[in-house]
Amino acid sequence: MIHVHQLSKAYIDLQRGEFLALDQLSFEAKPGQVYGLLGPNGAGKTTALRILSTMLRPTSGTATINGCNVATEATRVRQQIGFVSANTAIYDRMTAWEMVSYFGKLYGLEDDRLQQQMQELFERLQMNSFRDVLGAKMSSGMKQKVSIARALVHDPPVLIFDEATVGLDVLVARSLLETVAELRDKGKCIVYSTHIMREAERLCDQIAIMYEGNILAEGTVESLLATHNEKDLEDLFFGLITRHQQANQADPQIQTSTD
Amino acid sequence: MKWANIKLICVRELRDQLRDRRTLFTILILPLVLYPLLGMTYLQVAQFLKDSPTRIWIIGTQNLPQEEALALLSRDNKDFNPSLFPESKPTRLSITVSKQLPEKVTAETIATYAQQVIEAEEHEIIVYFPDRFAKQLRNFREQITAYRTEAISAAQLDATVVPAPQIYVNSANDKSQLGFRRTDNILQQWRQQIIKESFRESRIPEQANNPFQLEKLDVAKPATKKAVVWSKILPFFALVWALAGAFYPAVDLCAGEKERGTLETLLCSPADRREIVWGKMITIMAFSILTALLNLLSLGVTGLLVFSQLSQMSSATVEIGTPPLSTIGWLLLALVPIAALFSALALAVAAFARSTKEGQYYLMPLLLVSMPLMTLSMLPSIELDLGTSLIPITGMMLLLRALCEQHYWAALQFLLPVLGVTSACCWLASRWAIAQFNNESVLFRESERWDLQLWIRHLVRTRGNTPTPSMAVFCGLLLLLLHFFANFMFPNSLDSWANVAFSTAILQFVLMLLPTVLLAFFFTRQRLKTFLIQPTSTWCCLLAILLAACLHPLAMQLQNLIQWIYPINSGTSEALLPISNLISATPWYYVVLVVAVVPAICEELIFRGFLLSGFRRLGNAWTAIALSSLFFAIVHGILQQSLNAFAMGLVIGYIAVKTGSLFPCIFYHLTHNSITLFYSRLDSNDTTNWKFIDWIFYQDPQQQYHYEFPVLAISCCVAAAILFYYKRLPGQLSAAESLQQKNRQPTDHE
Repeated sequence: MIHVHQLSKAYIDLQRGEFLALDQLSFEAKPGQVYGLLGPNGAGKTTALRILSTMLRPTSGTATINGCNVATEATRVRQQIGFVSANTAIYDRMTAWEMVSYFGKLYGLEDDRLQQQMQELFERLQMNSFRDVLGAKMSSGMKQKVSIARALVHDPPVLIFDEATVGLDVLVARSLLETVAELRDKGKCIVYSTHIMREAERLCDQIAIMYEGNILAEGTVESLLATHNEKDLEDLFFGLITRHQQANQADPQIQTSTD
Repeated sequence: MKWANIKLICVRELRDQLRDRRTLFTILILPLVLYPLLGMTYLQVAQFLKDSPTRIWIIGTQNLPQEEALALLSRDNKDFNPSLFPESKPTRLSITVSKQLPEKVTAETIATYAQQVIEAEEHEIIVYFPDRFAKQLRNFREQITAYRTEAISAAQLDATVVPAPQIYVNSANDKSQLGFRRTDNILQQWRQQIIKESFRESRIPEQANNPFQLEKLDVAKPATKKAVVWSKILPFFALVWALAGAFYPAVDLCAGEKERGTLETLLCSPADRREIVWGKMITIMAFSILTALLNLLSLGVTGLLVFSQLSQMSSATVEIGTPPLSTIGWLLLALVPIAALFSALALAVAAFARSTKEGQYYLMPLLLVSMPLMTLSMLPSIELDLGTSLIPITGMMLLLRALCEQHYWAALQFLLPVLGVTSACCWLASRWAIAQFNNESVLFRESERWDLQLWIRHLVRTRGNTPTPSMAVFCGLLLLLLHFFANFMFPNSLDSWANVAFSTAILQFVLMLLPTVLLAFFFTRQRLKTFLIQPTSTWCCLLAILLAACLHPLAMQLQNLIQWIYPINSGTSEALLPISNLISATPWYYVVLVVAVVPAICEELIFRGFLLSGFRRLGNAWTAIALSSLFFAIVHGILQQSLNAFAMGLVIGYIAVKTGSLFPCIFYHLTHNSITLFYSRLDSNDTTNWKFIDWIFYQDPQQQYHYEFPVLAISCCVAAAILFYYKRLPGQLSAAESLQQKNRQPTDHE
């Protein structure tokens, strides 16, 4: 469903010169599977997911979603994904119903289908109690539900969650994880990025541990622990990063270049 | 692009803005409240001017003439003589009278004393009649009689002392100024009375004072008179509010959405970037038009009420009424393209901002650029012609003025250029806005902390091989500033050629090249690469010389065209005359050294060296060439020269990018300047015997030399061939340009 092949992204930073945010990233995610990107802040998770959602263009490499290239078929790709991130907020001056309906129309849904879809979604996510509340008046949990409903309104085969639990309390975060698990069970292909180990352990079928734009290790939680001979994911995570840093110090390769 | 999506986005944004209290306040409430408040203030001021009493202290009344016919004051000395005002007596005057100067005050110290009294606000005006006033007045009148009877000569009459009473006023105080106008009226009236009395004594009829009666006949139709007033006020207010009305929603729709995190939500929807931009732009345009209309409506209604009130307050008729319908119609029509232009500009500028606060900072630069263009059209000497019609905004304002004043022929003549320029600007601005929305570094910009010391240290420590674009902008602005001050440093530079040479050397080497070299020294690692001092083939240099020679006829045509559109005014021509005379009178090698060699080396090192290298880190060679040419043009000072220099900058910039070396650029610049010098000296003695001049040039009736058409045509063909040769050179992409090229792959083939 999602094929990422040697995806790189470099930025021109006026102070740092050319800065490599993604360095030849490759992975695959299948339907009915949650693919987790686990990494600290600045690992390149958001950049990778922004490329998948067509907001950024890759500098090199390819990524396809359901056979559509993210760089050359952006509109088709966006029709097939639902993107939820800590950076995709909801409109303050729109009600929950208006917001989801607006995006449904942008996805080109017919009125009847949109109505049916929205009623189902509002029912399933228990949003009817605040359907006419303005975004500005909603709690974080309500906002997150609206975001999920907005991403699901066109029933996409692929869902991308980027640090979706940031800023949520334990109850809302748990509810979100349950929703993601339900979606996986319905056969959706899900990419889930996080820096919280427990979320990754609980939810992800496949995990890629990312650091400085690279994938340091990839596999199921069990296979990763077995391969690296670690007791839990946190030890594995720190071990991999420490070894990567030591390798870099031994062979310092400056990643910045200037004209 | 789907119109359904644009409509959807536009409707949402409109509804969103109408739900925002801040927008509603700026667009609906402010205009409805602002003008009535301003009108009330204006009426209060008018009322103050009418009601404010004036306390006048008249000192030295014992020196006034005693004859009743010449009396300034009434018999009881408490008021002015009522016979001075046969029709209406001035009100609100309170008079204090002193027969002589107060104690301890003399004729020498009265000025200081009067200053203290007026500053202490005891009186607004002091009128002082000096000791010999009555005597001098009598003497003057007697001398006139004597002259009439031929007892004295005209010279003796001229030598007669004219009495000079003094009136003390504080021009920094409104009340005192108002008092002065009132007192001056009375004293003028008194003077007329004295003249009349003198005429009567000399038995000259009173009519002699009035040999002819000037009759003013206004041929303007009342409607046109009204239109003239409105045609100046309304377009200005409409445009200012169209800009403000576009800017605030634009900031909220771009920077505000970035801040609130909803822009990313919209970007990951299936809506195309162009659809998003157009949806937002139409919303902004609607608000821009609405704001302008509401302001005009409120201004019109308040203005009418205030003027009618003023008419009732004063006897003078205020010649202003409701604006003619045609004025309003034209204004509404013109608002659409202007609002479109402002909306696209505001959207592009606002898209760049990270936050609402940052966005609001950008309003001032936008206003600073637009305001002179708006006010330019209000100057009486500026009229709609080909030159002004090509200036954005000003052209539209002038067209609007011509239409309002019913000068339809003038308007029709320049309708196409105005609409063409406005449409081109709208298109460019909308392209810019779309480019901003496609620019990842603009959409996902992150905020930075700024500290001067840390920043300079950081700049030096992390300096790149070539300067950054910000450093290039800084260098360009610094040079412009130094260039501006240099004009005042050498006020006598045109006295002799030695002075010209000296001031040129100081300007080019010390004020321009030295700061650039210092910047390169501190803030770059590879100075030779920065200044593009790289080897190149002799062939490239020779072709640059040939290209300069071949493009010279075209450059002269361009110069003529520019001077035809924007004629050089007589003041500038006079200012340039001494330099032309000096050039003609100086040996050619000396002139070439100062006017061609020095600028070719210094300016190329600066503009095609430092600035171009800096701007090339933006990632687009043509943007870099255009920006470096822009600074090169502005440094040339006079508008006509700047436009020409900009075109030349583009050509030399292209050569620099393609050859990767500064040497062809220097040779091009040197050749161009040398040929221009030769061209300006064509009629001097040096060239009279050169036969080939007749083959290349012809003289027009004003004895000006021009290239023969075949020469122009052939040289253009050769120039095109050379440029084609340069085009085929691989050129060297900067690292930033290569990266941008990779990132600029098409996003959508659908």
